[in-house]
Amino acid sequence: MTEKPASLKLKKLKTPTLEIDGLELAIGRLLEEEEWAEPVGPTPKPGITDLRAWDRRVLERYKPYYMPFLDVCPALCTYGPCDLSAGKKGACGLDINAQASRIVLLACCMGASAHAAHGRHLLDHLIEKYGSDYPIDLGDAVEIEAPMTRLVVGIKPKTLGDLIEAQNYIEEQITHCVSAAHTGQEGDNIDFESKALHVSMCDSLGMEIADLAQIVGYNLPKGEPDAPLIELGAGTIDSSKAVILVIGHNVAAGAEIADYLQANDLYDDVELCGICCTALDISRYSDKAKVVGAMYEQLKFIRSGLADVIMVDEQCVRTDIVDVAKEVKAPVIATLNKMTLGLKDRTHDSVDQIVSDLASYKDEGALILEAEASAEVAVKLAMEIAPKRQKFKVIPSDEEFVDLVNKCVNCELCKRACPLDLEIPAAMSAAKKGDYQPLAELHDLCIGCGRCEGICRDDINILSVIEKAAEKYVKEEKYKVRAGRGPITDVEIRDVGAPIVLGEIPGVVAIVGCPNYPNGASEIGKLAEEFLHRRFIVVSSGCGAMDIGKYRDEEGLTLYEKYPGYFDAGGLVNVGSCVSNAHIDGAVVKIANIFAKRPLRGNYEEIADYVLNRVGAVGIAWGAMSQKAASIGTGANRLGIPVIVGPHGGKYRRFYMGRSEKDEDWEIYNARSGEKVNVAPAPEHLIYAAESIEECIVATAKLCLRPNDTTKGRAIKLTHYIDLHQKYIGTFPTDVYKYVRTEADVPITIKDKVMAHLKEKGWKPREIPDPTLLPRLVRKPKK
Amino acid sequence: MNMPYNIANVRGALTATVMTPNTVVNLIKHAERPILIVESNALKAVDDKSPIDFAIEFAKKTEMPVVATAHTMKAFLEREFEAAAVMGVADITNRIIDPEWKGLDGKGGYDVIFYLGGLYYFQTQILSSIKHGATSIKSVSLDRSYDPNATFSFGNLTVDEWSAALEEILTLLK
Repeated sequence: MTEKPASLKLKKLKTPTLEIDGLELAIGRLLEEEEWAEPVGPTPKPGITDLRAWDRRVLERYKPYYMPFLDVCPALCTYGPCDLSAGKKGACGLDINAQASRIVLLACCMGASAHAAHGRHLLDHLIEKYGSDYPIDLGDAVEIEAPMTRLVVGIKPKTLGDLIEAQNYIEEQITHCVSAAHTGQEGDNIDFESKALHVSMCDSLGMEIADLAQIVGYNLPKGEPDAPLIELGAGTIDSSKAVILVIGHNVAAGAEIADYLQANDLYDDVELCGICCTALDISRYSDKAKVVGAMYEQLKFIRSGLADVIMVDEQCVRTDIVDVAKEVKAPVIATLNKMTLGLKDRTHDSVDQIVSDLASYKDEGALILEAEASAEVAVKLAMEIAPKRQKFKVIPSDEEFVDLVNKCVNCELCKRACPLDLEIPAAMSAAKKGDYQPLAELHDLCIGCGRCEGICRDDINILSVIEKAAEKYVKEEKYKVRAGRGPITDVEIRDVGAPIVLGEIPGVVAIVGCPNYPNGASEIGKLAEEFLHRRFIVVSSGCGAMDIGKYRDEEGLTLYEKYPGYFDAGGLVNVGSCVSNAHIDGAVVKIANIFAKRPLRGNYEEIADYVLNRVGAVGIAWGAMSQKAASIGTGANRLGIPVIVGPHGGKYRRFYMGRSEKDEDWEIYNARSGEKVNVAPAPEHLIYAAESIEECIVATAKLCLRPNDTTKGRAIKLTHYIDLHQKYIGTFPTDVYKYVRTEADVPITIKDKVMAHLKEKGWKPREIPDPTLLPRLVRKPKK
Repeated sequence: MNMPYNIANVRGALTATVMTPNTVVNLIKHAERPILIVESNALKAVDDKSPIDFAIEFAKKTEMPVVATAHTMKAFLEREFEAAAVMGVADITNRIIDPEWKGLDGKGGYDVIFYLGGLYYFQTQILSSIKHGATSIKSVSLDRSYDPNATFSFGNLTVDEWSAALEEILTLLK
């Protein structure tokens, strides 16, 4: 059933007992029976406690490991601040674990609400533009158009208007979850975690709605493996043109710019480029748009002076963007209500007047809450202001550079302020001696936050100094990224469902998220290539997708040029922007439904149980930074997908970690017999931080193991795990015996070595069960 | 109060005691079950000296088990030293804070935990998990930056001061 708006109008009605004249009744929404034969499962539109038992069961195995940020509760109420150290409780009764989990919940709520508000804006905008009856049609290859919506909400949306019901559900759940964090509400850390998992599940749903709406509304690629290759990198930007830079995540205004340039034949005069996910989405809309790169490019690129006009929409935009842009004389146009930046609201003013005011620097920017008008302003303004600006930059000249470097007294405050602890003082010392290479090398590692400059007592613009040293390399930054293709098609799932579940495709590795890398972007390229050449399926999205594009193999090819975009062994699949992450969750859900025929409709628990026990997918958020990354990861966790974060992920304050040595934690039901049996600790963790990319690579291979692997699949997966362990850590892993169930699991190429290890450990064969954590899924209950 | 290495890393009520090499030796003397955890930053040579070399000598002199995190094991193998275990730093610390855990050798948990070669921003979070999850366990940062989340930490030392401090520990352990 779906909900539909309903109303009744009676102009005139006269009966012997009743006379009505001009009656209008709006009944809100009526449930409508629809053509969907699948029965409704146990949890359509689950409330915040409907999946609580499942969460608690899973968290018995993957217990939260807390790393609180503060010893105190920072006083969101007036009781505090309260000291929570050494087992003390706050005035409200919360202890340190509950407080840590409460912060996790709030972070996940922020992440979910950012995507949900993004989706709401797109949905309202597109419904206003095309009507609520605008069809959701993803083509012949995609029948299951909205797997998360079917799974969680229990509806099969056919039109944009149908998505409103799911959107309303999400907004209601977010409200409940935020309210649970209010003083005097939730008090148990595991229940806080359950709510974090719940709101993060809603986040996955919200991302699906947002991307589905924009795919159909803007006609973005609908699961096309051969979506075009897009120019990527600062070096691809044509500085002879007027340049419009869009930053953020919401494609609405950027798409209007592309339309305006196309309609007025202006692409020869104006360059449209972007940073962060908006960049990916405008390139899904128009292959003439270019991607500068991930969010860390903001300060670097703007200071290079190439952007004549900067248009921002929402999420992950520098909040001081107006000040940053002012330094290079580039006006800022804000286009959405969430980010108004103190700018004057010019939504109802004439385009020419706004252009005139901004081009004459009467104002430093404008808020224009109407996408079409903001686009026209951006284009006209860029063309008018570009000749005046002459690509004005704040990167130092050669002389200024030498002066700045010589000002450095090596106090090390910049290093201490740097989120990465970069060796800036050593690079400055080398530069003083005329060796600029160490400074230039920092360009690739630096995440562009500018904290080093804020702390420098000698007012050295350190980031600009680094950019100056790296100037010649920046000009060579010319790469390719495949445009985000959107969903994984049903056809692809039919082909790979069995090999993934049986373990013959050794895993699906999803490299997602932000670019707060511990050691530069090239590491995720290395990670992607390691698994691509081993014929895993590698999926990418967001800033991670862009940074994979900046990695070249030994022959100079970018990975998107080298590997096909199919969701198949050895395929590199860029699904798109942050909201496209929903297609990764969607793909594993589709595997359960299409390959295993598990019902989707309102059947979350069973699907999560299926994924956890059978689908060897791992998410990697190597540079996870935002609250959205927290909710994306936690949403994947609720669905049974383990996630590895980089070392900055410790700042999320909580991991879900298994204990491989505790046999009782790895007890499951054998669905064939109802017997409780022990399985290998797989996946070992649900969310975990690796300290180095080498550790991450090894952990990724291990986290692809699942209790359901066939013997052939287990042998393949163990081959990769053992090989990678030996390659990156230097030793044969000591826990292989835990993952060998029968001799048939032993990789044939290293049989002698593994058999010797098994003998040393006193290994005994054991049964391969049909695994489930849900007693109701046992087909033959134990008598 | 000592200034945290990362100046914004202000944590609140409990902050690490600044230690000297003598403190380290005294801690070892009174420890029942100490353990050394060596992380990936130890792979970076400091003024041509490798923290891994220090770790090996320190472990040999104290007969302390060593856990090599991330990919540090390779450096130990190159020096023909066998660490007791290869584990992620969160993985080993998660066990350490569990009072029921029987240790790497099955003989019991650990009471004094030495960390060397941590990434500052990650290490401080790991130390926070001990600070709040196991108040009876002492954590010791052997790195050259002051970490308020440890029980004991060096102050913010220059490279030379740090090298000298590590040398002094080894000398005092003789």
